Amino acid sequence: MAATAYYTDNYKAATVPDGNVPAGMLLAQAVKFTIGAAAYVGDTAYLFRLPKGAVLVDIKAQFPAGSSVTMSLGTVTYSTGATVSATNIVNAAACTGAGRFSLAGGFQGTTLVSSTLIGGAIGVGYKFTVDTGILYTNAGAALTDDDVLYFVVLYYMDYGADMATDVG
Amino acid sequence: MAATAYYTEAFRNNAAPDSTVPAGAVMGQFVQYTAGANTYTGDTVYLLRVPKGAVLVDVICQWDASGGSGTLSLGTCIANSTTGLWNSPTVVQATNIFNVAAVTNSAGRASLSGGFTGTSLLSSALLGTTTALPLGYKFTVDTGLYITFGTAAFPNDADFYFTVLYFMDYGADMATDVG
Repeated sequence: MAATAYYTDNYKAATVPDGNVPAGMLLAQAVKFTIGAAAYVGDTAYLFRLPKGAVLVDIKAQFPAGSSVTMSLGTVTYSTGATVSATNIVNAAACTGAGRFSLAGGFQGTTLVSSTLIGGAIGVGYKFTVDTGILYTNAGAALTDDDVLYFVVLYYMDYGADMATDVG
Repeated sequence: MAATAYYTEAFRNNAAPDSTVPAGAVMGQFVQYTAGANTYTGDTVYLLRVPKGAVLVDVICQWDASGGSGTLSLGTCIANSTTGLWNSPTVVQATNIFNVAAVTNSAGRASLSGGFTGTSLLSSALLGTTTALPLGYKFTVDTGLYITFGTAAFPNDADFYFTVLYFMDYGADMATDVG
């Protein structure tokens, strides 16, 4: 069976999340992904859309045990649908035991998920310059029918250079 | 000594936390509980309440060393199913967020993203299974969060800190299934 792409209704909608909110106010979106059939290598789920100017605070995930499962989180340019990178947030984290992670660290079973797998080019404080989608990719062996994954993204809006600045 | 139930003022108050806030804006509540005496097995502390429609983002907690093989559970409850009051709430489940997380004689911290006691990781099984109350759970009724102490006692003056983060979702637009 070929890999399948899944979308939230929210992701497919023509309007992006409200970007006209007070600068610095912490915002969140949540997604529950229930595997409808055994997941296959390369299956993708388009989870969230973040407005231009959003500054990434955290992404939290919770996942069940799966045999040799790995998961990646990446980004998509929403306007074109082009994948920027499938692994620029989380790079093939092994998820053989039930676990959780955030951009501050994580674990599966009782084993830490290494920092090298979490936080690639896009990590804490990254400011999105275009409307951007967050993409999940399943790799390794399959998750099973009715397995559930949970994701929450935290971000705030920055309309200038005042909220997310470099030191120096 | 019988187990004792303790309540924060905010918990007993019959005015629910404000739920008329912008959808998606992250809200927080914080409670510090200082044990007034050694805790006993089965003691409960009713911490805080979240409104109907709240989507759980995180529960962040910190605890002092227990002085023994202490355990700590975090669960949910609703207003008393008979009286509708919060001074004797009805338990939903005592362990559906943290399931008897062993905090054996070591200070530690946990969130829904993981946690540790001393230098040992808390397993995912202790932080709520995927069949319990997970990350991103949307509360369908006003809900209280409370802790239950198990096994050995925490000492007098032991401190516990809890912060809950959530956002309000008034429809199906913010917390959606993939399919």
